[in-house]
Amino acid sequence: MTARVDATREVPLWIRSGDDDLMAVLTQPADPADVGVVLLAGGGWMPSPHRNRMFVDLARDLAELGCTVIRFDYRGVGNSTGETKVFDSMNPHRADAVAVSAVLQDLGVERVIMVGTCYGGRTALAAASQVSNIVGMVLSGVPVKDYGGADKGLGWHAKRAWSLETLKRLRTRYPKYLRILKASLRRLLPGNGPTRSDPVSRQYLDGLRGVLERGAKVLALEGSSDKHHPAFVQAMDGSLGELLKAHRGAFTVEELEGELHGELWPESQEFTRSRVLSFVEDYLNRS
Amino acid sequence: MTATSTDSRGRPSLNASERRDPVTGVVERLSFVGAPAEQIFTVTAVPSGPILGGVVMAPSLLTDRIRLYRGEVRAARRLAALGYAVVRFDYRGFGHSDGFTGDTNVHRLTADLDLAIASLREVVSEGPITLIGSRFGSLMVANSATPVSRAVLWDPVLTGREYFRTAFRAHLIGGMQRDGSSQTPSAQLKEGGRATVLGYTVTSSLVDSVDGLSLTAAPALSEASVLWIESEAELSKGRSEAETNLRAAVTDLSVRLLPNPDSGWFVGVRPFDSQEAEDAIVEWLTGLEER
Repeated sequence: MTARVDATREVPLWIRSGDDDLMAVLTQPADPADVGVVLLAGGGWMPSPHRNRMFVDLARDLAELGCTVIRFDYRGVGNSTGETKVFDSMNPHRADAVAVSAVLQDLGVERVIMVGTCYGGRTALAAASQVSNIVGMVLSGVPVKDYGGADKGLGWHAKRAWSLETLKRLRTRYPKYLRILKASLRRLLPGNGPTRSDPVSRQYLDGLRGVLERGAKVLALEGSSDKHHPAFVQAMDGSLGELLKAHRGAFTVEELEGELHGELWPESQEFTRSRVLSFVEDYLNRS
Repeated sequence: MTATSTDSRGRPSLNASERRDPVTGVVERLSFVGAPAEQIFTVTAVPSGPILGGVVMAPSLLTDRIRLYRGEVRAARRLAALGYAVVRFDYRGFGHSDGFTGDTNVHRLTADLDLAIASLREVVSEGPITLIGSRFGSLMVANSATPVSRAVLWDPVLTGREYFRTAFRAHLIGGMQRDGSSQTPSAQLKEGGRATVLGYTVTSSLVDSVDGLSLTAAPALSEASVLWIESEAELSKGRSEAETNLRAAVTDLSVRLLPNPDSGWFVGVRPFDSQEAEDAIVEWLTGLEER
C-alpha cells in the first residue's frame, strides 16, 4: 500500500475560521473528478497527519482516485492558531469543518465527502447541514453517545456546579455551562434524548438524519472491542435502527473484529483506509 | 495572506501559504522543501522587524511528537516575536513530509535536519543558528552533520537505544500488548523487521541505525553553548553522569530543572505544558545575546 502521490501535488495553506487561522494541506489529483474529501481527525490534540500519518497516506491515495482532498488542524491543534481546552461532542469544531469544506467548494469541487474518525465524525455530523453539496460521509469509530461533559446526568452537573473551581470559572465560561444545562434539561423531556435503553445522542441522530435526508450515503465503521460499541449496538435496536430502516441502502455498517477507535493498530488503520477508499471508489463508479 | 484571498476568477488563492500574526507581525510560511518525492514539510516563522538570529527545532518521534507539538508551535511563535527566524519541520516518513516510515534511518533523519537548516539559511544568511531538539530530537541535534554553536536539549534522550527501549516499555505498560499476542515489539522486530509501537510503525532499520547514538558522544556540540531543560526536580543518576560528560565535551552547559507533571513521556494525550521551558529558552538566548 504505497501512496504514489507525493508532496509535489500538495499545497499547504492557511484557512480563516472565525478569529483563527487553520493550517491545512490540500492534495490535488492529476485528473480531478470534481469530488472533494475532507478528512477530520479525532480529538486529543491529534495533528492532521493523524496517528502513524494515516491521513497523509489516505489523502494521497484518494488523490490517485481523482479526489481533491483536504486535511487540517482544528483551532488550538497542531499548527493552527487559537486554543482548544476540551473536545466536547456536543460542541465540536463545526465552524472549522465548514470553513475547510468551503475552500473545496470555492475551488470548484462540486461534491463533498466527509471522513471523520471519532470526534472528527461528530464534527462532520455537526457541520454537514452547512456543507451544501455533501454526497457521502464515513464515520470511523465515532461514539453515538455524548461525551466531554454533555453525557453526564443533571445530578452530576448539579454537584459539580457548587465546586469552588466551577464558581470561579462561572464568569468566563457561563455559555458552556448554560449549554450543558439546556442539554440536560432537554433530555428530561419525554422521548427527547438518550435513555438507558437508547443511548444515541440527539446531536448524532439529527446530524445523521440531515445527511441521509439529503440523499447522501453514509458508512459507519465500528470496532467490536471498542468501549463505545455496545452503545452503538443498543442504538441500532432503537432510534438509530429506525432511522436506518427509513433510509435503507443509504447507510451501511462495517465492523472490524477488535479495536478500531483511536486507530492504534496497523489493522485498524488499514481497515479505515481501505474502507474509505472503497466507499469513495464505489461512489465515483456509480456517479 | 490567507485562503480568504482570491485569484482573478474569485477562487481561493493557493498562495495562501503565509499568515501574518495580527499582534506580533510574525509571518508563518508553510512549505515543502527538497527534491520531488523526498520533500520535508516546514513551517518558517519570520519576525516582522530585524532578525536577531535563526532557530531550527528538531522534533521527537512517535507519541512524544504529538504531546510536544503545541509547545513547539508556541515556542516558535514566541521566539519569532522576539526577532528569531524559526524553522520547524517533519522528518521524512513522519508528519506531512514525503517518504515512508519504513525507509527511515538515522542518515535520513540527519539529512532532513540539515535540509531544515539550509532552508533557514535562505532567511538568515549569516549569524549563529540555535538548534532546539526535543526528546529524540536532542539526539539529532547532538549528532547533526552541521557544527552547532548553540543548542537547546529539551528533555533530552541520552541514547537511541534508551529511547526505543522506553517506548517499547510504555507500549507494554500502556496495555497496548493485545491479549493473545505473545509478541513484544522487540520480538516483532526480530521476526519481521517491523513492529507497531504506540500505534506507529517502527522498523529495525530505524531502531538499529540509532542504536549507537549518544547525547554525550556528540561531535556537533563540541563548540557549542548548550541549555539542558529537564522536566524533573532533579537529574536521575544516569542523567547526572551524562550531564557531567556533556559538560566536559561542550563550551558551556546550563541546566534548568523545571519539574513538570506532564513529563510522563509516551503516554497521555494532553499537550505538554511548555510555558516554563519556553521562558527558560528565551532567558538563555537573551543572555547569550547580551554576552
